[in-house]
Amino acid sequence: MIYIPIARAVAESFSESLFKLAIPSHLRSPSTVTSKYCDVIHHDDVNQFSLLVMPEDVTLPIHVAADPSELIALLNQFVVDEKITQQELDDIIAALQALSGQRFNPAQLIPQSWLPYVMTREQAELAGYVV
Amino acid sequence: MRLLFLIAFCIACGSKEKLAPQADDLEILRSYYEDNLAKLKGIPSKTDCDGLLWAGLAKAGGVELDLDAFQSDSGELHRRPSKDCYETGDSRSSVSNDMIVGWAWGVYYSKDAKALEKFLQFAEDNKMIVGKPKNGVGEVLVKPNVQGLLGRLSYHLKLGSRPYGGIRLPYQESNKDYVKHIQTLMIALDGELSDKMPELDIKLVCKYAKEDKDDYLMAAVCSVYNGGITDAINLLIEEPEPPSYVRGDQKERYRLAHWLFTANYLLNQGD
Repeated sequence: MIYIPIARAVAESFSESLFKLAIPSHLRSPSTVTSKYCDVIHHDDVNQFSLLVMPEDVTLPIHVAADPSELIALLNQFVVDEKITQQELDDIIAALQALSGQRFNPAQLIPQSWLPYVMTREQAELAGYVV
Repeated sequence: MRLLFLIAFCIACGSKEKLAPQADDLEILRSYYEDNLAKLKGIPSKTDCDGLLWAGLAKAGGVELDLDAFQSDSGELHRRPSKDCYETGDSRSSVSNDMIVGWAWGVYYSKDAKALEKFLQFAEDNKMIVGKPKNGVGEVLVKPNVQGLLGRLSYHLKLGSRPYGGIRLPYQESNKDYVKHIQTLMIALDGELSDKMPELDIKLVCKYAKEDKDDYLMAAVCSVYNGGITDAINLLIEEPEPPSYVRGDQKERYRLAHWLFTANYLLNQGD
């Protein structure tokens, strides 16, 4: 697993929007329990950033009927907040479009500018996140 | 596993390298620096409860002073040499992350591995709770980014790598002057300890520098990565009014410490 910092306010919805790529809301069975792609963990003292607990080598199918606009809207806010660049967002959008109907590894789409902040489990624990 | 490997060695990703200043610029700055250095002797304030921050910065600015006066034999750090800010009620805590950052700069410049080891042992033995109050609201927990910085300083001073040395969280932009100051100091120190810096960290300092065009510290740190070192040196020599975070019971001495720190930071980029 890798531990990716993400603004606390959008952490849960980001994980949900990833899951919706595999199973769009309108195709979701009432019996489907999960609604998130990965867990989110918080910190008692660090209010700004939570961590997405993302598998590093698991692939997720992108349903042909998936609408990535919710995910893109969240990512767009990261551009507005200057956490990722417009080019990095454009690259992610292009990758999602190209991979429609195929499987992809969400961890491989972490933008370059965000990679220095990705932590291991040990680092996340030492930083005080409840892993 | 491939991604984890990439991340472990990914300091080059989304990162910035330093630029070297011109020797002529540094020569001019050095003469001003020596004049100002002669004006500040010893610990800037022995009574203020922000004393440790400014003592650390003064030390990093080249001022001769005894930083050990702020540290107990146990390794614990204190806001002032009398070690009683919390007990007297002059501060709500005996030390803070801001103080630790200033101290870390002093340790970095004096290469005082012994003082760092003492503090890190103390911090590790106390699960990173390093001051009073000890529990609950207001407890002094070393924040993740400060842990990461101290871990990298440990490696730099040849004390070995610490498991927390790889921690690095993005900085949250702030409009509070003292937060901007500490974030800039942390990013600048990180830059001394790391070959390359996360681009986002540098972007943040440059944004702060743009917001306050008279802040020569932020201009200096930004210029080391984004260019414009000559302009930053000129601003420092012009010496506008110090930023609002330069305050306390010894404002004039803090102003000197702040100027000397910034000047020495730039001078050391030429080494």
